[in-house]
Amino acid sequence: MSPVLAGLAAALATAVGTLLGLVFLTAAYAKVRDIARFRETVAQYRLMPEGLVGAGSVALPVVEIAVGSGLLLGVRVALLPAAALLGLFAAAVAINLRRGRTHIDCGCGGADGRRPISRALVRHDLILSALALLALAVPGPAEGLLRLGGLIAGGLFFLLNMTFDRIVAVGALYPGGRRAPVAWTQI
Amino acid sequence: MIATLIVLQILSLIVIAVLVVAVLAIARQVGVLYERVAPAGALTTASGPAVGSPAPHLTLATLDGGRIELGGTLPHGRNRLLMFVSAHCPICKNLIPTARKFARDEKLEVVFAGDAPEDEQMALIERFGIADLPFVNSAELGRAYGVEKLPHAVLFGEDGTVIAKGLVNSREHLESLVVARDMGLSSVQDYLRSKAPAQQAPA
Repeated sequence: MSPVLAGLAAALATAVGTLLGLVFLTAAYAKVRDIARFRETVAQYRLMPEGLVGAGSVALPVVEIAVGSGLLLGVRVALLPAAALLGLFAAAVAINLRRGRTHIDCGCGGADGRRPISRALVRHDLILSALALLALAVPGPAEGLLRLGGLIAGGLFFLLNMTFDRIVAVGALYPGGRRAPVAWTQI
Repeated sequence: MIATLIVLQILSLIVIAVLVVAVLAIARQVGVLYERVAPAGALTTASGPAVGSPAPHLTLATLDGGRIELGGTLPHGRNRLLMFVSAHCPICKNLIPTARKFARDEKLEVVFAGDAPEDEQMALIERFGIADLPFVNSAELGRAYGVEKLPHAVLFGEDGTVIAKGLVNSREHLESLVVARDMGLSSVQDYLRSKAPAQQAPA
């Protein structure tokens, strides 16, 4: 492989790690800030036995913080649980969509904290999960300037992700509106 | 080293590409918001001469001692804005200078009108520096146009008809009178009604 392609792959892998690390940390922060509400959200998904909802809603942010910190510090192995968690979220949302429970809050933190689950969300999580797996397939970490570039790019991707989140939240203020741009802006 | 720089360059191009998509999404969102926000316009009331009908022909005294003919034809290409104001209406205080500037921008003749003791009107004229514009102090005029709330504006066409009129609270409302003229509609309420069926149509 040419040095440019190898370097680009390594830098992009770093960027993906940084993006996902920031996503997990902010998501965990939103959950910890209002743990009672998050507990309610977990219960709404109706996927866990009632006795485990309390423990699960505490364990999830803890795992997210661990995975997020690992990703930010450049621990490559953390990409695997990250991909698994995102796949789990996608599955949880998809199951509830199939059940017709489209009104429940996604619990994904996000710009305004409260947003109903949607197919766009499933797609969003699956894309992030796929990115994590792709980054895991890249051999070797980025070094020096490349690593710095990857970190900065990852931070910028995170901000852009937040921007799209905000745009989608504005679109969702007008449900059922004419050509409501709810879904297509999700990345 | 060169390879590293190329990689960083490609990275920044990717970021720019995503940013462009974000800007497009925001631009689209702005367009959607514009579609949803109804335009501001003067509130056209049913009283007084209807829009499109000839204005009542009145010859009245102005406060500077002259006489003015209201209704009837104007010189070619001229429109006239009749502004009913009062010293006691808080919005009038903001709107008198605005109306003056607006009329200059739109090349309209302005005539102020009111119904109050003469010394009070003279104080108003002095305060806003509108002595160079005609001011009619007449209860008859207000009755003829069915003015209920102030500030009220009436726009006359060169043929002496009422083009647009209504309760005006801002420059946007004044502009809606001219926009109504340019679009051949009688009021912003008319415009919204004409748009309403289109909004209910399936997407």
